[in-house]
Amino acid sequence: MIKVKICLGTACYVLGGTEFTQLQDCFTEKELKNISFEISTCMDLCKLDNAKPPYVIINDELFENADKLLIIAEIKNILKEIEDDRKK
Amino acid sequence: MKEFIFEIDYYNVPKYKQVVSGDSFFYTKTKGNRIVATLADGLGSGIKANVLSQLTASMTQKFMAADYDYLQTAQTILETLPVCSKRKISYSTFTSVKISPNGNTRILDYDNPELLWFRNNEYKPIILCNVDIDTLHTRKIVKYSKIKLEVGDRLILFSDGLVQSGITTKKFPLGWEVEYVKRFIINTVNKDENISARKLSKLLVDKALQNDNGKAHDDITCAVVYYKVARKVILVTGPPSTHEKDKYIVEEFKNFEGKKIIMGGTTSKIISKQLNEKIEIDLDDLHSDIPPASKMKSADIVAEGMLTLNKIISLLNGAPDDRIKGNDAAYKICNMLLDSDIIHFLVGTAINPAHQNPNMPVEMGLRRISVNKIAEILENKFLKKVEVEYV
Repeated sequence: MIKVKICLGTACYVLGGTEFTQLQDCFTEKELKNISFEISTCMDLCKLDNAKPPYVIINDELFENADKLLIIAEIKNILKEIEDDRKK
Repeated sequence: MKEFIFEIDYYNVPKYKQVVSGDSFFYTKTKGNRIVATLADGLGSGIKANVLSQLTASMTQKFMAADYDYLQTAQTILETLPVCSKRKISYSTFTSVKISPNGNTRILDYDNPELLWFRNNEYKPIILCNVDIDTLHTRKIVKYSKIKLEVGDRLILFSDGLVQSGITTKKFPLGWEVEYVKRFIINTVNKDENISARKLSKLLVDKALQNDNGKAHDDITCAVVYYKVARKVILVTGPPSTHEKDKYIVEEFKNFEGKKIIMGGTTSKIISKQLNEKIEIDLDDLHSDIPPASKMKSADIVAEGMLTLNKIISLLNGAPDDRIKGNDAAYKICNMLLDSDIIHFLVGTAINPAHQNPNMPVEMGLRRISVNKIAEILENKFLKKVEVEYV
């Protein structure tokens, strides 16, 4: 299972987080079975020095300055790895 | 401790195909916490009627607020109104009420439909004293009265568009007469004993519009004054200036009696952590221009901070109709604030470093400014009692 945690705090939302609210529409139903989306009101990462919102966490890996295409590509990569593992 | 307040609100629909209403309703708080409210109905409809009624209502408001003699007030207004070029008459009816904090109410009425007074959901007739007034051209009759409102009382003011709605239809050949209106109010209040002035005025206007088959024959306005136990709400927004004060806001929030609103990601985290309650985001709420609302056991609503606050400002500044069009967090909070009488803001003053990013919009600057704007609108435009506390 892939855990995707999206921050929708003010800073993340304004700097591009809005795009992630429609992330589910970018995957097929079969793919969605392996992904769980979670939304956070604020992950408090924006309070750190040199913060680069928006933030997305995929399976404990933190993505700064997250971009929708990059996140989709990352999730698809992990999906592919899972698929390959299964075939082996 | 129970506090009592006068809730005043109104609803208005302009005549079919008109952009502005020919009726005006103004209400203000004057010195000594007295409330002055005036409903004026200008001759005809559209812009001309709007100018007439606004002129009349604002004059009446100023005179009544300044403790000017009532009959002198009426005379001055009746003599000052501009003359209609078509009908060669100057005309705008008005009803004005001045309410003292102890419930003493003075009523000045010129040609508007009867003002209705309800106590314990029963109609109570108002004894009006007719006074002849000699103006420059003719003699006119003005009605004057003094009553004492008690807790639970309602005063209902409306323009003739309401009682004349549905005129010539089979159901109401002579219009929606006052007797029907009284019965409608009694039935409505029977169903919901504590119905707010806002809801009742809207229900009455909606019913009148329905009588007119959705196309108002005249401008319809209804205003309600309701003397009642105040409804309270607390709005906590922003983390406090130091971590030591976290406990204080949580305690204040926990012990508050009334509705509870939390705004801001960090603020909601502080409260949820201390109260050991989970925040659940409402995923149906994702298709809006602001972040979604969330749920928490001890709060009525949890929402994002700055963006939602700024949207609330624009909703409060907008027309009453716009406030019921959406269903996101800002609409919900806006209606929650308007459905309350005493609003307590608990504002954290910590500066969020993330909001100082040059890529962020300018209005994201300071929470205090946004909260102050909301407090000012609620106090001046909606006559709410507002307390702002900074931590």
